[in-house]
Order: sequence, then C-alpha cells, then structure tokens
Amino acid sequence: MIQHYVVINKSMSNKLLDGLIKDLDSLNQQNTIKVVVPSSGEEVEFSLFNVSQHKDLMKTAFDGYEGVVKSSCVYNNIIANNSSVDYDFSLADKTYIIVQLRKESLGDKYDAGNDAVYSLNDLPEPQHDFKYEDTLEYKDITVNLKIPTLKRDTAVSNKLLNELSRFTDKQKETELINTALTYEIIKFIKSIQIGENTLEFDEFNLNDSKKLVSMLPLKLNNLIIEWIADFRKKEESNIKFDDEVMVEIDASFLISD
Amino acid sequence: MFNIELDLPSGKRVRIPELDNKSHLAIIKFCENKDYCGLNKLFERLYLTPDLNIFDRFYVLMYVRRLFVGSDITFIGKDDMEISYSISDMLVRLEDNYIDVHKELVYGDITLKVGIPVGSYFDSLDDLYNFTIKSVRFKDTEVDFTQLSNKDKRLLLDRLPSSVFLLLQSYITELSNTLFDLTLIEENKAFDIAEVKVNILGNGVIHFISSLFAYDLFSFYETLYYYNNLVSGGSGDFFDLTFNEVQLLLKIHEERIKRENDEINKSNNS
Repeated sequence: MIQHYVVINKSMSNKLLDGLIKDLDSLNQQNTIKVVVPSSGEEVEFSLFNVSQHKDLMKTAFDGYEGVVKSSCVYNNIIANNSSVDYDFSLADKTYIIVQLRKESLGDKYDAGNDAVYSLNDLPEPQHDFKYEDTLEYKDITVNLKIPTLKRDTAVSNKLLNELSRFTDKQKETELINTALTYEIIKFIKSIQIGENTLEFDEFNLNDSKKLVSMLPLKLNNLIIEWIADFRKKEESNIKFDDEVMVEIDASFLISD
Repeated sequence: MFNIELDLPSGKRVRIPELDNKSHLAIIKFCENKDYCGLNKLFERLYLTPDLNIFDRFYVLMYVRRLFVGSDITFIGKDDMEISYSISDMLVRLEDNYIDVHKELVYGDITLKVGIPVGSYFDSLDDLYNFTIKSVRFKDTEVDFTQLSNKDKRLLLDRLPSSVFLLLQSYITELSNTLFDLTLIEENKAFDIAEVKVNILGNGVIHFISSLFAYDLFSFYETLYYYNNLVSGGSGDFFDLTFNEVQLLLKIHEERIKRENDEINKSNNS
C-alpha cells in the first residue's frame, strides 16, 4: 500500500515538473532577442541568459586565470546553445552578441568595479569591419590566418585548460603566459606551409600544432602576434566607453547594478 | 532497534537510532582519511533526511556524538593540561543562534521559495544553490525542488531567467552575512586554547563534525581488544554496542577487578 502511494506521488510530481517545464518553455519562447550576427550579416534570434548559464559563469569566478578561460568557453557555449539557428559563429561575433544578450536579460547598467556605473547603451556604435582571413609570409614559410570560430576557440581553450591542470605552482609562475600565448596563436592559424609541406590546423592535431608554433622563427611569430593584437584592439574598441573603461566579458559581466 | 526522539532547532522532531560501533568505526575511518564527502554520505544514510537544513544537521550530529560516543571534547592546553568542553553547551549555543530565513524571491510570474540550505556537504557552488532553493512556482504550478534529481534540477534552472539568479545570489550573500561564524568554544587564554568558530554556510560544519568524531584508530581497536578479551570473552557483540556502552562495561569490569584485588589484599593482610 505504501509503495503504491509513493508511486502515485512520484508520478504526480513528474507531471507537475513536466507541466512547469512546458509553461516555462512557452514563456522563454517570448523572451528572445534578434541580433544581427557580424560575421554573416544575418539576423538571428537568441534566447536570453538562464539561471544555469549564470551559475556556470559564477563558478568560474574563483579559478584565477583558468577561470577567465573557462568563462570564455561558457560564453561560447551560451551563444551556440541560445541561438535559434545552427551556425558556426566567429570569435568576431562574440562580444557584440554577449553585450546584446546581457542588455536584454539583465538591463543595460554595468558596474565596472571602480564605483562607476555605466550604461551599455553608451558604448560606441560597433565597427565590424574585421579582416577575417590573411596570409603572412616569411622566407619559405606561409602562414594562413583566420579569426577562429567559437567552436575552435573552445576546443583550443579546453586543451589549454587541460595542460594548465597538470602544471605545478612553480610552472604556473614561469610558464603560464608563454603557454597561454602559444595556444592563442594556434587558435588563429588556419594552416602553415613550409616549402611543399602544409599542415592544416584542426582540433585533432593540437599537439603537433603546438610543436610547430614553438619552432616558428621569432620574426614570423611576432608578425602573427601583431595580427592577433590588431583584431583584439578592434574588438576591444567596440566595448570601450568614452573614458577608456572597457567592459570585461567575464563572470562579473552578468552582475547588474 | 532503540532510538531517541529529538527536537531540532527548526522545530522539527526526529528519531535518532543508536550509533553502533560498526558504523562508528566507518565514521572514524572517513575522518582519518579526511573524506568529508564519504563521511557526509554515511551520516545521510544513518541520520540525515533530505529535508533537514544545515543547522538541524549540525545539531543531530553533535547530539549523536554526545549521546553515543562521549559527552565532552578534550583539548590539550598549556603545559599539556587536558581541558574538556561539554557538547551540551555547544548544542545550547546552536539552539540560541538558530535563525530561520525563509524568503520568496519573485520575478514576474516566477516565485522561488528559498531557505537555509538543506545539505551538510558542498561539493561545488552548484550544491549551495541547489540546497538553498526549496520550491519553484510559475503561475499556479509549484514543484518541490528538494525532491528533484540533479538532472531535473538542471532542467528547471535551464529555463529560469538570469534575473532570478541575481535574486538568488543576493539572498545567499545576505544569508552568509547572517549566518556568521558561530562561536562554539570561547577562547581560554589561561590554558592557551583558541576560540573555535564554525561557518554554518559551507563545509565548516562537516569539518568540525569530523574533528568531533575523529578518534585514533589504534585506541579504538585497543578498546575492542580489551572488551573482547576481558569482558565479553570473545562473544563478538562489540560492533552491536555503542562506544559509550563498551566504555561503561570496561569500567564495570575494572571496578570489579579492583574490588576483588582489594578483597584479596584484605584477606592476605588478615
């Protein structure tokens, strides 16, 4: 008898949960925003941030540098999961989409942590004239560069996190910046041609990619870093207020005033 | 099996079964290994029901320690002097400091009922949020969040707007300010004993409980050896008894031996 009672209660509670989820799904269908994706120029519908995503971001706030990388991956996943279309978003789309989602989900007030509260509406009109692909040549080496997709950005970041998790505290002190920079370079390389040999960079040869990048001539390495820095500078100019205060797209970005 | 009715700080009433030496030994092993997750799971199997908040859980476990293991805890102070503190006093402190902070967080048609977390071990920040939410209501439909599996909790949280999270976050901040570090043992400068404070909102509770139950394994087996060889004659009932009962039986045995020795000495002298 008791077992029967429990079963009825459980099935009632499952029905309640299903009903609640259905109701919330219909509510969420109305809570969307349309954003013009910079890399495609197409308008795409996105659902707003939810509690689980916010929670996942908060968890990254206590992990130091690794936390910053993790939060970047969480944002990548949010863009992919909240989009109504299946599209390979570019890293160049990221800040713009996240800022729009943030404004619609939690309002435009942004606490920059310096006792000043800004309105995200006061950010400059975004410029999306990024150079998505380029070729650099040095002696007999040709490097094809490309602003990575979010998918690639996440894959390489996960590899970096995996490597950092094996670092000792001493290694973190001495090797962290160098390792992070190497992986940042890997993200932006599409392929490297040396003489007649070409290595296409993908998610399956990250170890080989790392070895190759560490062997590139310093001059070429610096040219790649400059190219990436140009992209980052342009990206940052879209999220910089008049007084040069920049919006930080990390776990703290979802804390409204 | 014998059990005891216990009134908890929240007003709930539970029945506490005896802690036999079999479970006690498992607790000591978890404490020695500093495996707080395993220790908490064992306590949940033995004593803690899912509806109990962290205050009540703390109370139940201290009560179990007092009743079935020993009523005092001992510190070694200045000049190796043993200073004992009564667990009963700590229980009174817990009762006196109990705060019930239930709240309804409302965002549009969504209402979250929240309260003191119903857990005693927090593996990650997820646990803190999941243990704090009691129910979720949208319009007329309300679901008991504490009864959901982790998968269903995630399903539901995936559908709640981010603004609800800000309300939840602010409630937890308020809660952590309210449930400040609770002083269980005052500082004793004369004997060089530092104040013992426990942060109720977090793993401070299970760490403290672990230190209450931590007992040298060698001493435990020594007690088992003496009991089996001197008292029970190897009957094997040690693991069915509580630690307090065994100590009581050893004391009775010791007194009997003393009495007999005294009588022998007396008859030899006369």
